[in-house]
Amino acid sequence: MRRSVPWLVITCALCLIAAVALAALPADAEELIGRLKYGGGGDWYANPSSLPNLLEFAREHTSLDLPRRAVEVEPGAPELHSFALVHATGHGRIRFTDAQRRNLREYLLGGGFLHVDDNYGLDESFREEVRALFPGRELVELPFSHPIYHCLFEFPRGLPKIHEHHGGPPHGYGIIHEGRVVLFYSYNTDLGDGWESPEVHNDPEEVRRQALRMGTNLLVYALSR
Amino acid sequence: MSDLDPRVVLLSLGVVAACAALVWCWMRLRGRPPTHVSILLGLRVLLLSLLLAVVADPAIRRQVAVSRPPLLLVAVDASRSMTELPPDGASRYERALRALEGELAAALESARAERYLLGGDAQAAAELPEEPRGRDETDLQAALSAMLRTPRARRPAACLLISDGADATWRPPARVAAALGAYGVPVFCIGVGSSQPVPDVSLPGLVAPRVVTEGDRFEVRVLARAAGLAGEPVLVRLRSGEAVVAEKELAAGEVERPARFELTAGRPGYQRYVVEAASAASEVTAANNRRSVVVRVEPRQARLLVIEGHPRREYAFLRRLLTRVEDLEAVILLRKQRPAEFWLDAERPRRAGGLSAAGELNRFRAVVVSNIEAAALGGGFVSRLEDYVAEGGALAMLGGEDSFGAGGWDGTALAPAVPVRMEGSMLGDPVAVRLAGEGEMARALRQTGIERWERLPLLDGMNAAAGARPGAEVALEGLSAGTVLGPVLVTGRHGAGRTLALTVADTWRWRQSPGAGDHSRAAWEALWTSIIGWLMAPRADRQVLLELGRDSFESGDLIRAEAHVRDRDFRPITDARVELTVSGPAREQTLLAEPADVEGIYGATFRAADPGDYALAAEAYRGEEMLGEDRRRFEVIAPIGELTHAARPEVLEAIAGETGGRYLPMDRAGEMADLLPLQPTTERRSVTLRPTRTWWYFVLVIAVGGLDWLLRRRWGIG
Repeated sequence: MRRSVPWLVITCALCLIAAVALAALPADAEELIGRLKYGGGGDWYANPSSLPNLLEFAREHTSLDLPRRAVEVEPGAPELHSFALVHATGHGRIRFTDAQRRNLREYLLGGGFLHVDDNYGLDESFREEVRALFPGRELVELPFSHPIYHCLFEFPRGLPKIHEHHGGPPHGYGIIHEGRVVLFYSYNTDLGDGWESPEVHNDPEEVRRQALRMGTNLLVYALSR
Repeated sequence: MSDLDPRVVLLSLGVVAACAALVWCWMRLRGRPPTHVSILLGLRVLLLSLLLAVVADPAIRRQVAVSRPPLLLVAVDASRSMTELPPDGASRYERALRALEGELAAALESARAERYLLGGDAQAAAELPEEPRGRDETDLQAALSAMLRTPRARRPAACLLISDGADATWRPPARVAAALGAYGVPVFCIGVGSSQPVPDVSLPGLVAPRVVTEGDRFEVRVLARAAGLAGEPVLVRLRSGEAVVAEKELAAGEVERPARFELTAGRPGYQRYVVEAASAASEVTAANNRRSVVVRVEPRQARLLVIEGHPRREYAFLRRLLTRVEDLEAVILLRKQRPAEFWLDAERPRRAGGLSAAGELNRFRAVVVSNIEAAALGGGFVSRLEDYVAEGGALAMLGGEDSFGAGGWDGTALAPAVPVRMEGSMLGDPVAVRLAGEGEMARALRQTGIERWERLPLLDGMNAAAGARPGAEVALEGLSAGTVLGPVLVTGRHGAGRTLALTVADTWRWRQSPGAGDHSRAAWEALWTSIIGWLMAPRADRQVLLELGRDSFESGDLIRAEAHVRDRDFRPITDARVELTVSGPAREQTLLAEPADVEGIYGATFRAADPGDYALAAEAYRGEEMLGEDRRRFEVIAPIGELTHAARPEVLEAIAGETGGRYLPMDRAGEMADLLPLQPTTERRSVTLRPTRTWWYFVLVIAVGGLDWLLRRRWGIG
């Protein structure tokens, strides 16, 4: 009996801490912004500090009510439909099952938004998946006049260039459904690296800031269109 | 014994005493020479008789003739037409004073004159002032009647009236005269002023439709009057704000000249059209050359203003729906940065700066205020929102952490318009909804065929509300574990407008969430199409309609306002309480309108004293329930009064003829002195003389007593 008392105290304290931590989270923390946990072998977990940094930046500079962290979500999970924006990144192969494709397509056409950021090495497999996801549709490069580049911060020349991988300008592609971009693919820029904490890539502050601003535009677009 | 006059008793006792005294005197005088005895006894008989006469106090009555000057009432009209016309030279009033002091002075001196100034009534004056205050409204019949019926010790011989015969009543001469004939006092009238029209341009008529639809053609009809200026053309201009919309020259000829202006209804909202007639150089006043009329322009297109506090899923889904609705122009102000950085969220979004980017609220058929705190909009804009609803607009407040009480809306100018009683917090429980009530919105939701609303995906909390406001209708209510949390969808009325409250913020879960399906997506579609349809429905006829008859009044005019109050089936309501609030440039007053002869009409009369723009609001209640409200605007201009009145000698002739007096124009005023019945009056009076109460009687008594004393001393009688 005497030995069980400290355990009881510790258990109660842990419960209390957990309750306080849960209460501190915004109500929608679990379902507003998601990180897509896809299959195929790619490192879906890359750039771990990117989304928390982006969310913090967006909270500071907009009227968005955003959670402090993103939540991992699988493409075939029913919970996917609760998310306003789902972000995917990585360097390797990306592959969905048929069930995942159905669920993801239903999510996007029903009002969701997917941002895929090529972290170098994702492009080929992702384009294959897009063709499977939306048969008969192609990713189209969005013009610089598209609202996604102007809906809060101005990007008159389209996506900002964050990291150099294989030369050339960055490209922003999209799948458009009923006038709305439901899938945005940022290629040859590495936005996610730009969102990472400064010490990760030692990017110049202005470059990092541009990446965060573009990411904020994606959030605003996804939550207003 | 008790009926005996004390004076008779006293006199009888006096006679006995006098006889005794005489006997006693005769006895004391015996032996004296007979002559002395006779003289002294005679004197004492006389003295005693005089004293007895004092006790008897005899009276002597006789008739005498008395002569008195006649009573003459002198009445001078002191209206503005007397004191301010003609505009050049001596006024009519000054000419009247000169006549009284000149050719009529002798006549007045031969009489006892009571002087009066005439306006709305008669005011006695010891002396007639040189510059009386011009009376705005005169009523000759009432003023003369008040003067003639004043009680006096003797009847006036005549009344001398100097007037132009014009007053504010424009009664027929025979009617005025008939009313005055009953007093039996002849009224002698001296007419002053010209009966030719006073040169003046005015606008007695201005008619325009009260409500028009944006873009429609409509007419403004004007009637210009060019009194005394028939030979001159009149230029009439129509202005809206500072801009001249149209102008017409009305050709010389007729006194009354109609004109029509055909216009196209411009921006929605209240438009004041001002008609001005160019001032003629010789006219007496330019104050009546201007009139205005207010026309309400209803928006033709279904325009909706959405003010959204945050980019969020609820907004994103609503926006997608709005872009799909045909013939709907949605202007969206989306706040993207705190505290108040608004963007116009159009196809190509752009910074809007402030709320002014939306333009005037009256452009919109409905306004949606969605999850934004009151402070971000500012008190001025919130008040304008309340005005917009009260004047007939539709408003929806959508839920969220920055809405209703949680957003600081309770206590704002808009709070009474919101159909729920707000509380300050959010309820965090999972919320299910269910249909409630039989109101218009509940019926609309039922007609969509959606059932089992309570089985839709749960919502994440709602704004706390202590229920619907009186008169509001709940269409959906929120439940948690079978307990009612409060109203979710409520509609109500405020003033002439309609309001809606939706106290939840995540109906998007019915559209897209793990639990969403065809049924919930259809419910979401049904809910929002019903809400948008309700908001965008054309404004219904009002239950409370305020009528003034005109939009322009003169300062001092009595204004009659009538409120027509009907129920939702447009049957007259006879047990309403109608409050009218008049807001003018100087003060605000509240009146309680009385039921008129016609069912459902409530009227009140008030006087607007100060020139300027006025707002009039009528609020109708039945018990605690507010039935509706209507507002009107009007302007009050400086008074014209009788400034434009030509003389009406026919009124004076009729008065003189009916009362037995005479009428003469002012240039023959001298003849009036001979016509007035100013002969002195002679009266016979009865005079009573009492000699014993005179001084000479007293001297006589002393003299007789003194003679008696002197003779006794001379003859040596003790």
